[in-house]
Parts: sequence; C-alpha cells; structure tokens
Amino acid sequence: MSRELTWAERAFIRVERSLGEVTHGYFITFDEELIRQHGLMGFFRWARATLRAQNELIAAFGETKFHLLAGFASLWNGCDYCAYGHVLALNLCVFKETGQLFPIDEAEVHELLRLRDHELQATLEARLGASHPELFALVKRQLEVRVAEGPLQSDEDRLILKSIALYEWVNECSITVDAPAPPLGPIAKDRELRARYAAARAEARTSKVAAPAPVSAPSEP
Amino acid sequence: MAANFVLKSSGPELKVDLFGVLTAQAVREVLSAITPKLSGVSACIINTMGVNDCLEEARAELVRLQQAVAARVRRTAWVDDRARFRGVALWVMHLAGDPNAKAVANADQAAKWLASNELREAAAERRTVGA
Repeated sequence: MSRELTWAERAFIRVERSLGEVTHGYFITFDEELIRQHGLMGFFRWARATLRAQNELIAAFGETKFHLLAGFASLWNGCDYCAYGHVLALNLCVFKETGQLFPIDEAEVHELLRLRDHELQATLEARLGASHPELFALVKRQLEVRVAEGPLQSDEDRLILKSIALYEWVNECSITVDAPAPPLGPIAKDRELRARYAAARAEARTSKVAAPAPVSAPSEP
Repeated sequence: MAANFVLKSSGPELKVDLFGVLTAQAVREVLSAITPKLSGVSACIINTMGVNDCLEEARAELVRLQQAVAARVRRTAWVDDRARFRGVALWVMHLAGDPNAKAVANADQAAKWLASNELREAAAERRTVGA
C-alpha cells in the first residue's frame, strides 16, 4: 500500500504546509499519508469534509468541548498524534478562558494510552469529576455512546457519534505519525497564549516532579 | 518474557490469543502456526489483551500477518481494551491495506464487526458525512 509521493505531490505538500502555518497556525504531518492513500483530489475531498464536520461540532459544542471530544475520540483509537494535538488545544482553550491549567497535561497522553478502558474512565473521573463536571460528563457520554445499542436518545448523542466517526476517519491516516503534535485548531494562531501556557505548564511539571502524586497507574507495564 | 499464543478454531472462526512481549520472531511463529489453519476460515479474532509490549521490530511482521490473514479470511477483529494496542492494530491493518479489519474493545464489538459488511474507513467517512 505504501508508495513514494510524486514530485508534484511533494511540491504540493510544501505549499500546503506553508499555507497551513500562515492561515491556521499549524500544519498536519499526516498529509503525506492522506495523499499517498487518496491522491490529491482525495486529499481535497477529505479536507473539505472533515473541516465541515469539525465546524459543525464546534458550532454545537464550542471550541473547548470540541477539542475534548476530538482528543478522547483519538485517544480511544490509539492515535497519540491527534490525542496530543487536541488535548493541547483543549488546554489552550481552558487556559485562555480561566487562566488555569486543565488537570490533564497533553504530555500525559502516552500514559493514558496504556490504561485499560475502565482505568481511563476512573482516571478521568478522578481528575475532572469535581473540577470540570460538565467536561467529564461529556467525555463519559462519548465513551457510553461508543458502545450504545439501539437508537441514540438526543441530538447531542448524534453529534457525539459524529465526533467518533470523524476521528475514526481522521485516525485512519494520522495513526502513521507520532506525537508531539501542534495544537490542532484555530487557537494555534495565538502565539502569545501558547507561550504563556507553555511557561505555566512547564512550571507545573517542575512542581509535580518535586512532589509526584499519581492518580492511577496502569495494571501492566 | 517471551510472547506466547493460543489458537482456537470454532467452525469458520479462528481466534488467536497473543500474550507477553511481541517480538518479530514471535509474530513469525504465529504466522507459521496459523497459515495452515486459515483454509475454510471466514472470520479471525486477534486478541491482544494479554500482550505486555509490542517491539518496534514486530510491527512489520504484524503487517505481514494481517496481509496473510486478509488474503484468506473475509473479516478480522483485533480486540483490546487498551487504546495503545488498538492503535497498534489500526496501524497494522492500515499498512496491510485491509479495509475488512477493525480494532475493537471487547468480544461483543468484535462479533458485531465480523457479522457486518462495512469497510472500516468507508464506514467512518459515511457516518461523518451523512450522520
């Protein structure tokens, strides 16, 4: 299935990444795999359809909750790149709104990937249940909808299901690249916010190293 | 700790339980063991719940394993309740070019996938665009 990209495809990627950096504040690195799999026209079709779905979810949930859904849909699929990029974007949104750090650091994505599903849910409840009950309820509902039988109850459930489908589609190619990722959303353009967040997070990590307090450990190495 | 595996045949279904650390050699041994058993099999379940680690060197062998299974078997489900190993499975089936394989979290989801005719990426696209 793997093939070398053509000269024209490589040239397109250089231009597309430059444009992405200027217009969105970031570019994705699995564009190569998308083009390898689907060709240039397929890439455009994928980009248009996924952007439309993302915008629909942002319109329904807001940017912060969208990144929560995108991050944990990708995490469930085992895609560290998208999980990292959306959890980082989620962190930036929360930091912008509240001036506080979100309880889940994007650097923890690799540890979360190792947890069994029930351990992940328990960890999220312990971290978010008290401080961010609305966000915890949404991500818990996403886990429930994933395994739900029969018709879904509400418009919100149908949108949550769309978030799951969207990231099954996105992760099909993003699984070929590894974290770290840039913040995967419009907030990536806010360089000043990114710098302030990075400084605050670095300080929190230093404090955590001084006094580690693991919430949950995986059952296996 | 060496990897180990158990094969269970039940009519048209073959179940492969993997354990321990997946090395390239261990995966080659699995492939050798299942190849003669694929005749008449229409569904394969690869259960990695007992796997502790998957070495980088094993990944290319897992792709060969998936390609060998896909050439003879209609549907495959990889089962694990850890995201990390669902990710390994997705990477393997993507690189193997098998749209009839899917990574799932439990036996119920595996049964549902094996009984369906959906193609993994096409189904995700359809549900994204049309949902």
